[in-house]
Amino acid sequence: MPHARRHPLLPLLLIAAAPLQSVALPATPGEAWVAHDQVLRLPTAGPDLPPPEVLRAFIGSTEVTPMLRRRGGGVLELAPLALHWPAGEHQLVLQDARDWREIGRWPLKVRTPAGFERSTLQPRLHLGLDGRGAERRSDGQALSPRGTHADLATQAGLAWSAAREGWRFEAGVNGSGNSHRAKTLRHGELAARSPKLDLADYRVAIARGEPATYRAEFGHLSARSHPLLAQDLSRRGLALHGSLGAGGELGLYLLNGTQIVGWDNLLGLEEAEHRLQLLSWGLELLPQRPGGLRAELGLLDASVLPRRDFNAGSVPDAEHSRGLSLRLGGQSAEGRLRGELAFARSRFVNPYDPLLALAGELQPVRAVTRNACSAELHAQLLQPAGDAPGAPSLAVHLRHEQAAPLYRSLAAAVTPDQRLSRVGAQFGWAGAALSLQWQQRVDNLDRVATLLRTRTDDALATLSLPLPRWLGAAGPSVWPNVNLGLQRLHQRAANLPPPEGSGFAASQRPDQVTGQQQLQLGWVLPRGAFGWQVSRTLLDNRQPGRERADARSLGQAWQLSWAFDERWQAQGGLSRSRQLNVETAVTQRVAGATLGLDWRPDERWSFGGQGALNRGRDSSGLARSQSFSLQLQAGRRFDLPGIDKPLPAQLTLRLARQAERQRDERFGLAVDWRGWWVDIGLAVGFF
Amino acid sequence: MQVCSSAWLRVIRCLTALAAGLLATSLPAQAVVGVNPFGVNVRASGPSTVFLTFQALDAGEQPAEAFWCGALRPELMNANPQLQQPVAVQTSNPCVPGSVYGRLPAALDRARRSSSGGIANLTDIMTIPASVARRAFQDAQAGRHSAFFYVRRFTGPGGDRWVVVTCRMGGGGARTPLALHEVRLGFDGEAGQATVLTLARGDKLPAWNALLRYNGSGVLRGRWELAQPGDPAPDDEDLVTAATLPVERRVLQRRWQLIERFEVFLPPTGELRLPGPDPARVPTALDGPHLLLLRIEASDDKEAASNTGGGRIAAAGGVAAFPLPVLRYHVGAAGARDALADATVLTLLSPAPGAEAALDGLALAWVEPGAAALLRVEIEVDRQPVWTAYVAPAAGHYRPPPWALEGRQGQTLRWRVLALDEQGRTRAVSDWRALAAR
Repeated sequence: MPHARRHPLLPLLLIAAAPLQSVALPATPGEAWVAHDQVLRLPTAGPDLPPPEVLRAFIGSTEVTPMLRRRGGGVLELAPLALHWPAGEHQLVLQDARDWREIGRWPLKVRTPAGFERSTLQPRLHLGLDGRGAERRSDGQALSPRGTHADLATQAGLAWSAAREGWRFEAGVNGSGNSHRAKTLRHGELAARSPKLDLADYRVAIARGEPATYRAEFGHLSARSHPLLAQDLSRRGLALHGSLGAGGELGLYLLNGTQIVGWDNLLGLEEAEHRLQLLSWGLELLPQRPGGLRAELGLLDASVLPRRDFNAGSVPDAEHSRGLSLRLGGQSAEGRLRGELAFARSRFVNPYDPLLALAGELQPVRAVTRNACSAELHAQLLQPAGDAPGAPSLAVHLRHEQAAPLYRSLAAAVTPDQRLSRVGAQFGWAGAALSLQWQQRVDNLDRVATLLRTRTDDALATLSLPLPRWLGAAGPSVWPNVNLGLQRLHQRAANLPPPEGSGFAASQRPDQVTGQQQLQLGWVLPRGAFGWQVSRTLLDNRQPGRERADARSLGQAWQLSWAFDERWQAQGGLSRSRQLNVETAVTQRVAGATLGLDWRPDERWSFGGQGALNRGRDSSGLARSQSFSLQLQAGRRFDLPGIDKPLPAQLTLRLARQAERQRDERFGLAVDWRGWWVDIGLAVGFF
Repeated sequence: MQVCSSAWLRVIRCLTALAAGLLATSLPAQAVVGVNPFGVNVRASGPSTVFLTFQALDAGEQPAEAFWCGALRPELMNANPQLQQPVAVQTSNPCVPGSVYGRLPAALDRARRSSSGGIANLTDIMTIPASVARRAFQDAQAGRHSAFFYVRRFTGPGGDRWVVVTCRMGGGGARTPLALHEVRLGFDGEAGQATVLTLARGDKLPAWNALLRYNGSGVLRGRWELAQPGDPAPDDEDLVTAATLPVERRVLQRRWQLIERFEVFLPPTGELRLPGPDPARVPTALDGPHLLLLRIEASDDKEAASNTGGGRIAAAGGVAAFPLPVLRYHVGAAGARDALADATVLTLLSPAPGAEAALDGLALAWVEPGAAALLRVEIEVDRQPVWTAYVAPAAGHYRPPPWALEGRQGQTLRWRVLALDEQGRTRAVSDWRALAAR
């Protein structure tokens, strides 16, 4: 597969790179667009003008007084010198510096060198050489598989956006490379075949209107249609959007089946069996009040091969689904009442997958068509007025959702065979917030006798108290901000599947109560912040014969960050946790400490250090571990000579030490080593 | 790495282990004797992953394929109707022909030989794809037995052996082994769209999180780590969760710079968003590619525990069938705007570094460089430009108009001066200098 081919950005880059002929004649600032290097003739003249030495000229937040010149007849001009006028729409202001009286103000619309009304091009090219200068381990083994080494890494990108006469253009591309294949983008997928220089992502878009009436885009796109059929999708593909007038919108997406990177399958649509096609249509039923009542229709046809998304871990399958979705959402005029009804119907099947077949034998999956639906209501019963933000507020929300057994849409993570009901309330007063929520989930909705039916009741409460604000502190205070969270969850079997038809004995049916309590206190300090968090968890099994299979855990953490001044900053943390297995009476304890320092004496030098120590042991005395790491680094920023400008560069040195000690006498394992290494790096930024 | 302690109890334990090892090598081929656990609860409507130990393999015995089937031969079911006893190791395929739900795909097969006190085992990670559970569910709907069976075949000197694990279909919550079946890492907000996030040197990293979809419930322990330029790249063995490895291989997983440890309770609800640590704790001073790593340690979950023989229980809470994803970001120079000219360093005069100065009447002064066509004065707050001024050469100072910095009192500003040539190229530049506005 050739990698360097079909560059999608080339035509747009050529447009951007080709500057249009600029007009040399002076122009008058006003409603007309002017060239970026055009002399501006200010429509003011006469004997009333102050003397030249007190005139000051500004374009937006930039002073351009040195460009001001007076021509014959008292005419004032601004002539670009060693700069171009900033592209875009600005205000050009002329003032008298003696009393800052405004002499004149004109709109100024400046085209870019390429003739666009607005255009920004941001190229980026970073090149780095990083390597390990030396390393050693106390037990004589290799600290890292490659030992001393040096790798060349690069990151390149280009982002362009422009507008002209109602059209908007956007293009962006990012690439990444490394001379060591194990550090390349697709090494996890392609191993030795992974390209050393690879395409991370790209996107090209063209739109008409502001806001866009029509839009076409390809590359890495985001699509969202329906919570039950096609949730947030981030894939490579092609999309077309159009406004149908009177509040109607149409969207068509053709997307790859998974999130991909790389030069291969550049448009993402090469394989029909690994592709999503989504059509969405939205209509504002109250065009005079957008969002007041909106209906949406979605159609999805999707097939995927058993592949994982880039940068995600999952258990993939070959799947095909085809579905329809409807959604009706609306809100009251004041926004105090809003709700949504959603419905989806999806036909799903797993096609024959040769990777799963055993000597060709594989029981087929029957295609089924199932429904899912949800309803949600949110009501703001008490709403503080805009001029009294501390007044009480009260909101309640209700949600019900249900997905039939075997319901599945490839573009939405909906839990099938589950009914969920949720009710909640949020109360606010003077910055404090109290939230209460209760929800219940039930599965095995068809009540198949041989399948376990599970019911889960979940109650949650959170409270936050802004004590410093209440006690009059605007900044640092001895009083902390308080956050408290409580949760109790009970999950239990709601039926008794016959053991002869299910294999379930009484002790294998779930009956578990979990409780969690968490308290966070946060202090604002004169030069930093301090926080303390404690959390407690209880796991209580109640099945016959497993009443003692319980666990309790308690964890605490302290965090401190402190800025000695702008150049010196430090942060540290301590943590402690213990977990008791009630059945074995064994307690596991883990304690840790971290410390980080950052010192930047000037713009060119930077120094830093990070240290961490962690210890773990259990009360049986059979297992213990200790891990220590320390890294010190120094960076020197300097410039390398470039063709037309100096190139910013950085030289870095990193010293590190690590020690690991682990012992597990049950399994007869012991590890005890110390190691150190030196890393050196040189990085240059070309753009 | 066998450790024999001087304590009597430990001596006895060591001798027992040695005897077991000797026994295993001196007896004729015995073949695999069983599996632990021999029965597990799995999710009926999604994937499941379970840590299994096939015990006491013969030296010449090799694992072959593994597969799931919906029905065992009638005589096996009649002997164990409630499936509460292990199905005896079979010398022929125990499944009813035509009932195969699928085989364990090679990409998910993480079986590897392991040892426990001298006993040769096979550590297997049984990963049930959702399509296999779906086949079983459809059979249960049709009135057949709702349990299905995982069968691993072994080949060896004693002939082929089939070992069976019973999979009971439930909701995938409590009483199901704690296992991750989907992990997604992403930066919050717009940065979440970037495959490789690019940061300017010194910029703060955006917040990030891990979306975990899982079976079971219990405490999940782990670490956030950072691989910096120069560090070796993590391989699959490093990226899988510790519970996915045999116990003796877990201690060989490499470590990178620790950002933060975490210990979070996963309720039996199947999904949790794990927030990353405070981004301020992640250094962004070093140029080059960085990786944020999510490392998951094995937790002591009773449902996931596996007896490896001799009473040695392997903790396997947090098993996963795949290497965990990584988050990538690249730190580089901020670009041409920050390029420093090395020909001349422009010197600032006043106000002094960090000095307090009134904005009304503020005067910024510098030593004039030679041969500049124009000078540019830049003023920033929080690294964001708030005012720029072009100044004619030879002036040596600049006074912003009083309204330019209005409302900035009490803030810390920074400013610098650049000398430009006729083409607008930077020929000299000063360091940034802080200024406390009052």
